Amino acid sequence: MSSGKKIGIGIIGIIVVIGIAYGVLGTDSDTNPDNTTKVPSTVEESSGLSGEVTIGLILPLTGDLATHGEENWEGSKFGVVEFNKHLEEIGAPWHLKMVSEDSATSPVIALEKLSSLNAKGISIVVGPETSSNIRNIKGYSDSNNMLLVSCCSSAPALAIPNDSVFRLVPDDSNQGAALGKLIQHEEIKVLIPVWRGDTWGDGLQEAASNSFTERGGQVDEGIRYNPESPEFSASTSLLAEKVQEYVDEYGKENVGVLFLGFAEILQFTQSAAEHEVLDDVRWFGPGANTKEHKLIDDPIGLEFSTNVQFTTVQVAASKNPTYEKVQAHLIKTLGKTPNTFVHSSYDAVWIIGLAMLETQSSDVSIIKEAIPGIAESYSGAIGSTKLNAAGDLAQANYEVWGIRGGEWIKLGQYTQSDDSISLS
Amino acid sequence: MAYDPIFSDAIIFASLLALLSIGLTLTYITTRVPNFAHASFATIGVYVALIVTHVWGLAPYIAIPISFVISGIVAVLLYTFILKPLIRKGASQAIQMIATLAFDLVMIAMLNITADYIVKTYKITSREFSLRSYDIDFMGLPLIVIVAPITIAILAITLHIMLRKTKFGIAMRAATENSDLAGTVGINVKLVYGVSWLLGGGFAGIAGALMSLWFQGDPNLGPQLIPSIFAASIAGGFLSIYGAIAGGILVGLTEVLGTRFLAGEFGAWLIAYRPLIPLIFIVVTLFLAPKGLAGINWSKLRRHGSRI
Repeated sequence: MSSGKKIGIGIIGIIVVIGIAYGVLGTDSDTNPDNTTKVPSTVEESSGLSGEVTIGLILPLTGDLATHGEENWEGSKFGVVEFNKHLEEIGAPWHLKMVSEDSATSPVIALEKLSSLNAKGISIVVGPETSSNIRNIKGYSDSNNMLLVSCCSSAPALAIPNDSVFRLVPDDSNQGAALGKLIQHEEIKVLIPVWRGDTWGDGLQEAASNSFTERGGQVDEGIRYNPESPEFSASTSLLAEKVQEYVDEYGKENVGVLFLGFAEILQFTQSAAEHEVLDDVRWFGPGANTKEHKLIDDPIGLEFSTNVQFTTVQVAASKNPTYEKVQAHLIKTLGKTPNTFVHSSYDAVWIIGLAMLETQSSDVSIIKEAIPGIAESYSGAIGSTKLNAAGDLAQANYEVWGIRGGEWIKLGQYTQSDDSISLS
Repeated sequence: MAYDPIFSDAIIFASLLALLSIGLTLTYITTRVPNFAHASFATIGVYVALIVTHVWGLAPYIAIPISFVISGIVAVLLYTFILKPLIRKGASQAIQMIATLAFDLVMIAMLNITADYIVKTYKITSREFSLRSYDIDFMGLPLIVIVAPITIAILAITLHIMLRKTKFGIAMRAATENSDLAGTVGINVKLVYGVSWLLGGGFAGIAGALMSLWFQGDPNLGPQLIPSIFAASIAGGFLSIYGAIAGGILVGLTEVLGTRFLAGEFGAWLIAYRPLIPLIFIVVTLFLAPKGLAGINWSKLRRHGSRI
């Protein structure tokens, strides 16, 4: 075969494999020893539970959200430990076992893991974490009579009644309202959104932009970036051009940037720090970036976020004994202050467990029916876990956080009922 | 007019892509196998730089020689223990290509384990990290802006001298052009191939150490970069070191400056489609110049242009 033909064959192969590799970015580093556990045969459906009752967990232990994933994993593991203590105290003849899987922050791998859990006979799953993951696996979950309880997915597009997904966070139409109110309160006239091009980013951007527009603000078309991009120089250059135009017209104190992303915020701010004008305006962010340690641990990230008075909102967790216990355990385990979603991860296990305890069943249909009632009466680490008609957290108050003086501090609170914000 | 930092971003990206493309081309020239694990050799360099900076407390640039050695050795291991036995057994090019893909998955898994070990042992962030803050300031610019293109220039000159002026370089050219004939005249073809893989992997390691100063480090960085690296090598003709340099610079500058220009002209929505640029490069190259930049008869084109 001539070298020309060989090159041709090689190149065609390259294109095919690149296409496949693009869809399957990420890896499955199966670091959890639990996943070899066999599904116990001692589960007795509808006739009382005994022995080991197994639930699944799918979280991003690697990939873009690995930091969050690890925190939430610890939250759920602690939930299992505490719930089993509770079962022991009341003399229940069964205990919970959790089989953990890594989604690698990839929707494709999340689906693979869900079908793997299903094949093992595990139909009730804590997670996954992101809306993109849920969107990709929801069809499978619905049609295979499975149940997902997510700690963190908040895309408004997934607020669907009577599906197989419960979410222990309010959907982002609420976070959008909180962000709109906060940005208006800070006297910003023009807002430029910059967001991850995925289900979560698109949904929250739309909600926040609509909220700010309804409050009389002006919103630019913004920049939707590819979250898989290895660097963001083109995005920050374009953003600088846009900000400069608005600063020239409205003054720097009236222009704001709303960044809606995950851990890539550090890379983005490092690139943004090269543009002087981006340093001159206020920046706002979502719950996903609240208490992001990378921003304050990195010298450029810290200087930039301090200069722009980076301010975020995140779901308010009511301080209660359970919250304090979970918080103390995770600070000790992780060596840092965790994100608020760890409390939802803890509560997700408890709500599933309590539904099993009440119904004495692990049957998905029975548990699904019981969860809204259980969630309404249970007061967990996040406080009230009452769900709305779509199966998402009903209470939607938000805390306002910001980087000030080199650290994350709580600045105030947004109250949904009267759409008010109070900052200290 | 104020200086737009995107130009320095473009220089860095293009330089690193050229460096990666040289390595990929070097390994392709010898074994004729497109190596899908190549970008992960660079990821090794990224993690070496993380350890050098955060664990040893040294400047990230110290990682360059260490990364060269480690990534080079890993590349030689891939060639010696996977590709060479496959070639000996008469495995097709497609099977060898899939073998490199499998090796890449193993490497990514190993990098994930390394990242977990680093975070657990040293309590430092080992995913989505960046060492940009630890670069050295040089006349108001990050040193990487100077070092990246200079590294390319030094390596290009060194390779040129090695290939044209040394006995080993001549042996390498002979072995890659006709290995059977080279073997009969006493050239140790296996040694030549081994050295090519050592250099190819080593160059990727150097690129990785430098990438840590500009990109977000993560075990999955390799798969994100592989389309750009292949686009650069294909644009360069896949069989020419000089073509690889030109291809890397062309694809790198286009990815950064082209995306920025198009987004400025046609709308910010184009930003999200940046990953398409390398794929477009591959398709266009295949249609218009299957042998890449190195295969174009430039003098004929010039004559044609002057007649027009």
